[in-house]
Amino acid sequence: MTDSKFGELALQYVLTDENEQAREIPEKAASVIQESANTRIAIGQWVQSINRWIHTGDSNEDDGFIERAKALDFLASTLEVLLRRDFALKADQIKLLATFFGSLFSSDHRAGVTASAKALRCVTSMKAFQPSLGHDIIENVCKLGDGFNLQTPATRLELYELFLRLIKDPAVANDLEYRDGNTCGFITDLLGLCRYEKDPLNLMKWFEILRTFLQNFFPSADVTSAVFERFSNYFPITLRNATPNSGVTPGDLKAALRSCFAAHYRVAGLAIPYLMNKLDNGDAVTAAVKTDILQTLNACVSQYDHPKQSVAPYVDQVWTSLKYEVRNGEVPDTIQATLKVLGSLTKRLDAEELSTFLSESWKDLAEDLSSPEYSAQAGQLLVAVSGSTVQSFASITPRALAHVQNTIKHAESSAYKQKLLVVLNNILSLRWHLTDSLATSSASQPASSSGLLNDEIFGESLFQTTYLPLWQNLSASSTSADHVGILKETMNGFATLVGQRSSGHDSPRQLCSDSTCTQIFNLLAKPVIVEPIEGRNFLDAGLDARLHEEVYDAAAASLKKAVPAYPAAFRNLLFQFLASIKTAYGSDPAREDLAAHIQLAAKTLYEVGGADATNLLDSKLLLSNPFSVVNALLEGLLWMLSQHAPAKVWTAFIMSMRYAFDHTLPSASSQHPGSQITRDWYLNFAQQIVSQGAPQLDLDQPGDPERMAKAFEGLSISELDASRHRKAYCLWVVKQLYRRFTVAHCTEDETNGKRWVIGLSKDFQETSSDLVMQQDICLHQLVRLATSTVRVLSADEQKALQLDQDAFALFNTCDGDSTNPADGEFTGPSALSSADGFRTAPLSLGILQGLHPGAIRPEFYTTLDDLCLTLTSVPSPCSDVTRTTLDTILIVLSNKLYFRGNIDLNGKRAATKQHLENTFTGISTGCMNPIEPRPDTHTVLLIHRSIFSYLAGDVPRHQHEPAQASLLANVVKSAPDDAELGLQLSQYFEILVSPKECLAAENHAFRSKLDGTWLYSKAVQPWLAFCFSGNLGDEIPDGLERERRTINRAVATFALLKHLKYNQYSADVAEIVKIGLRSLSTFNLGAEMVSCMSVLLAVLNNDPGELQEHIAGLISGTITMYEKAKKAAEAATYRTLRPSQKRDLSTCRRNALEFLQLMTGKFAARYLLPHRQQLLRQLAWACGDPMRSIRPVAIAARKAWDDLDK
Amino acid sequence: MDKDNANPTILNTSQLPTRQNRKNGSALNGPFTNSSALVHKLGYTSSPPWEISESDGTDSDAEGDMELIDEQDIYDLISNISDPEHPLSLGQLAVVNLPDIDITPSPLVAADPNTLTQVLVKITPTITHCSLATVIGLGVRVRLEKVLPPNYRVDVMIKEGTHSQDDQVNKQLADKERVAAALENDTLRGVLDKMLEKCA
Repeated sequence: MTDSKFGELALQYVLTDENEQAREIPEKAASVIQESANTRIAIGQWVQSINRWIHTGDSNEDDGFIERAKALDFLASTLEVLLRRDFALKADQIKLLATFFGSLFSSDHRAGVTASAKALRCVTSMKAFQPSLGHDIIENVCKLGDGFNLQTPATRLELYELFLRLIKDPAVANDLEYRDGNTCGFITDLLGLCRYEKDPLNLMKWFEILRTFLQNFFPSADVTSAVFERFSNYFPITLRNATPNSGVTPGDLKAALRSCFAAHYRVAGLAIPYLMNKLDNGDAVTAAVKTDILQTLNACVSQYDHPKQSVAPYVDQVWTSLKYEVRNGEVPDTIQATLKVLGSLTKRLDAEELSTFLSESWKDLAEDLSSPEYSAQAGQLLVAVSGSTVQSFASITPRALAHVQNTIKHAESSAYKQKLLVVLNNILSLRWHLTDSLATSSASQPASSSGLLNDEIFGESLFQTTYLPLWQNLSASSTSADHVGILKETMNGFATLVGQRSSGHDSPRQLCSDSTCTQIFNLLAKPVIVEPIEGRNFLDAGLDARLHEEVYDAAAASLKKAVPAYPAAFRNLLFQFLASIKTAYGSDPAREDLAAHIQLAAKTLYEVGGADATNLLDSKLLLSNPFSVVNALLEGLLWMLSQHAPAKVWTAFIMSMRYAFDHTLPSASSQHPGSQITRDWYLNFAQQIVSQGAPQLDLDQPGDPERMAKAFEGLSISELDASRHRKAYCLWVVKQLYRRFTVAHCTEDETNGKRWVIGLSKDFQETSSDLVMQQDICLHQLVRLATSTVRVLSADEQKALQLDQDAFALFNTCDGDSTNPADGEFTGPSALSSADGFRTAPLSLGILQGLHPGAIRPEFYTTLDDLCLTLTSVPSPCSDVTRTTLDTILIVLSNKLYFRGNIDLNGKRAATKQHLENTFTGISTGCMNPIEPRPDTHTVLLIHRSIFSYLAGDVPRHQHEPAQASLLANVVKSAPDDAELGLQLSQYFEILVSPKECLAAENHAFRSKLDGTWLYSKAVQPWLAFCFSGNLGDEIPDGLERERRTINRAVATFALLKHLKYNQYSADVAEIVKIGLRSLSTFNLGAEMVSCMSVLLAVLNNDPGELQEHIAGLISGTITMYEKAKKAAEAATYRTLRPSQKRDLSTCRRNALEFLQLMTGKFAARYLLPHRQQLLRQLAWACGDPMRSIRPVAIAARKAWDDLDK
Repeated sequence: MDKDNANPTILNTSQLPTRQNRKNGSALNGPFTNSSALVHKLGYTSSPPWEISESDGTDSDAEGDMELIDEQDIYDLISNISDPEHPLSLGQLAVVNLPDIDITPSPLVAADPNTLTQVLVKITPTITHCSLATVIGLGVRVRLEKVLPPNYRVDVMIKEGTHSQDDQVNKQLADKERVAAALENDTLRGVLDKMLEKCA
């Protein structure tokens, strides 16, 4: 029964062409075997089931070998299934199968090999497999002889895997060893069988087999030699590009072959001389091959066991050969690989061998170090050899150091001196590194490493005898360009000297004394801090600016390296910074570049202090260094204020603080709820830092920053808590500055009674217009400092700290950390202070801008109301500069002061809008009661601008209620039609949508995702038709008036469209293009034309098809506009234009040329060619555009049109 | 084909004359120098109609006054023409040099950008017997004619004493008909196109 079943399955398997079926049949056969009562009989029948295909021999006439192969594969696949199902065949059955399949290698080369290989792999993996069969299998497979190469790579791979499995199996390996002894006959057979292998995947296995053999067997020298010969024949191995993608990379092959070379020390006697011989073959090897040889040599040298027998005998040979690779080498990769070999080699030597090797190599090195030509290379060799172990470093550096020091002293050429200094610095860096690694490993070997790194010669004496004299010589003579290199290396050496620690002691100590370290920092501070701030050139003034910069950078880099090694020096640097500022200002208060130098030095100091906290090794400095820098800046500012320095110097300090804040404050997105600042926590923190000696500007007290730094140095806090401390400290600094610059006055009048207003402090007494301007600049910088501090606080933190109130009280409130003398009775105003002509308004903006909308309490709504009244009053209550700030505050408040669901406040908001609407209508119609007479045009424009500002903050909320939307509707409807100011008001539409910092997402402004679409539907789409005079009503009979209105409407339209996304207006693009085309000839050459061109460019980029029917009009319109703009730029009146007008003119020209250039890529040439000749003439003239940056655009456009017919 | 000069002296691109190198500006970024600039730079308001108090003409990045084409402009236009036999630019090979460019009338004194202006470029072959001097000269000429406005007349000459047959080459380069005829030669046209490939 089962007999016929197997026969049937075998037949099905042979006949099937479908993979699915071919997978199922062996499963069925395996199940039948497993389920049969007598497996012995079942297996017999299963084997016999393929008899009908087996009877023919392996002859050329044999045409049944395909069926036979499939039949054998049926058996192999069934075995695979049985193996997977863990079905145990008996030992004799396995033997039978092994013999059967083994015999096929000699009897049936064509059909049997693949299946047999597969079957044998299964058989050898079975539990009952007897190790002695391994030998027979290898013997049988080897009978394939040359037939092996005729097999497909996949079949060969199967066989390689079989061999690998066998020799990796300890039992089989034992049996093979026992049978053949050290002659290892089987490997000889295999070497013969596989000698022509070239397939990359198979080679990977073959190399693994050879490596495993060398590692696990004990072959005789002859056999080892034969094996070595076989794999070394492949060296150096590469992969031809033509090789089909097998997933093997040249790197894999190289590594596999390399592992054969490094497999066992028994091969050392063959491998090392072989590789050295290859290397010494000079010209015959390319750089890549040379690197491969060196990497292989490195693998051998570092991996062989018993280095005394395997590596030590070749030390001299390797050194003699390799030193030239470095000495005369040119390819960096090769040199690096060589140095690595020498390092590995040194590591493998015992004390005696090391001593001999170092003595020998030192002879060469000393000679080369004495030669200017080879000193750099000798230095590299020295570092490679000495850096490998603590012992080698200790052994060679005393003589090396003495020699290098001595040679530096007598070297004449500066290039040579510089090379030697590099060697010296590298030795110092190496020692720094070794001390660190000793410190980490000393726990395991505390005694053995005691004082091993020659502590006595690497400290004080090195500085005094070598580095300091070099510095003094350079400073004494006027530094020439040649000496800059030495100077840079000396400074680098200073930093590495500071980093030298004693070796082998329980607690490593600095090798240089404190006074030496201080001296080093003083020297390094000269080029970075002292000389620039005090207005002197560190180098000879005649030298190239690049050299000055290089020395500055090198000194800054050295400081950055040295400060973490000697943190105490940082405060000294800050002290020098302040001292230099005082000296500089004292000697020449009017120096123009002092402010810039203060900023640059502060920035460098911040970086040097490792204030980038992630780089700080010592987390204790996480807060102390950044705080110290800002405290120093506060101290400096306080001193400048005491000297009545001009405000531009204050600005330098505030801008420097901004740099520090930007790098100190955590980003708003990285906030963690666990590190929230509460009011109590903040007050406690403020009291704490005051008691620790923080400078207090409002009290004119410099404090004791050193004490504060020490207090924070000792503070061990988590990163999370550090972020909270940093935020609180920055806020504290802002509060200090606000209080210093403002003062609360009490005023009393009949209408309002007694009230407090905030004015500018006594520091702002100067009233000359130049100084007032400087003060305003300073206040604006303070605004940015405040905003960047406030905005990183969460809404809850802002609420807890009541920052909404401080936006008006400017931190003069009685909140526990205030020191204002008015404390106690002062509760703070809730409106912008009108004192000093609203000059404190920027400070309010600084806070308001960073507040979350939810952090402003409803009671502050009156501020918005008051501000609207102020800004719509006549005459304008403040200077135009301040008014810009007030308008910006209006934007912020109208955007953030919104309370959903608060009926009372929504009513007030509607009333505010009604007031603005009335004002708008009043001033538009000229009957603005009760103000008489009508305000002048400038004031009217200012009021309009404020109304637009209000809307700019309001529009992102797009409210649908008619009461809330009517102001916008009225403005959109009437503004462009205004008889007198229509054009200017149309331009003001841009205010509604232009990007503004105060409405940026990081400042927590409210912005609906749909505001653009909403605005388009309200302010653009319904009015498109009115951009054509034909659509205006008959009530306007005058043609000129109709034209004026349509132009103004188009100006307003493009002012809005310029800032909208293309998809927001794409539905009406056909109409917009017509308006644009018309506007090219009707618009003035200014902002409106810029808007028009940018919209046309957007259409050209997104949907050129919409422009296709207007090509002729667009080309002539654009180039005519360009020519007009060019003429205007060349006219004598150009110089009298305002900067913005000049900018608009140039943008018009640039846009026109870009448009023309882009056209060539968007339309088929046949549409453009009719215009080419004429346009080329005009574009040729455009190449002489009066502005340099526009000429390349013209050239590109000319080229694009010139190439049209190519 | 063997090269006329197999080992020319090559200048590093950082050594070539640029407009920046000739400026003496400080690398430091000082604070803003006037309130109008400040209002713009601070970006409270970024739309042009917001401008105020702009009576000054000292805006730090004021859209400049007239910037007539000067020698450096001409140098920038031709220095990146590729050499016909080396993979290097004429600037790197010092075939074209800033001091050897002359504009008449000088852009420093000219007031009207549309006056007839003469540009003279003297090229320095890398060796005195360079057979490609004419081609290089032609390349410079073609490039300048393509990028300069019509009121500029271009003359290209070999610098005195730098070529053994400078008279002949100069004659060829000055002969408009020969230049026109040369440009109709497809092979030569191909060489010139290759030379001008890297020019923006």
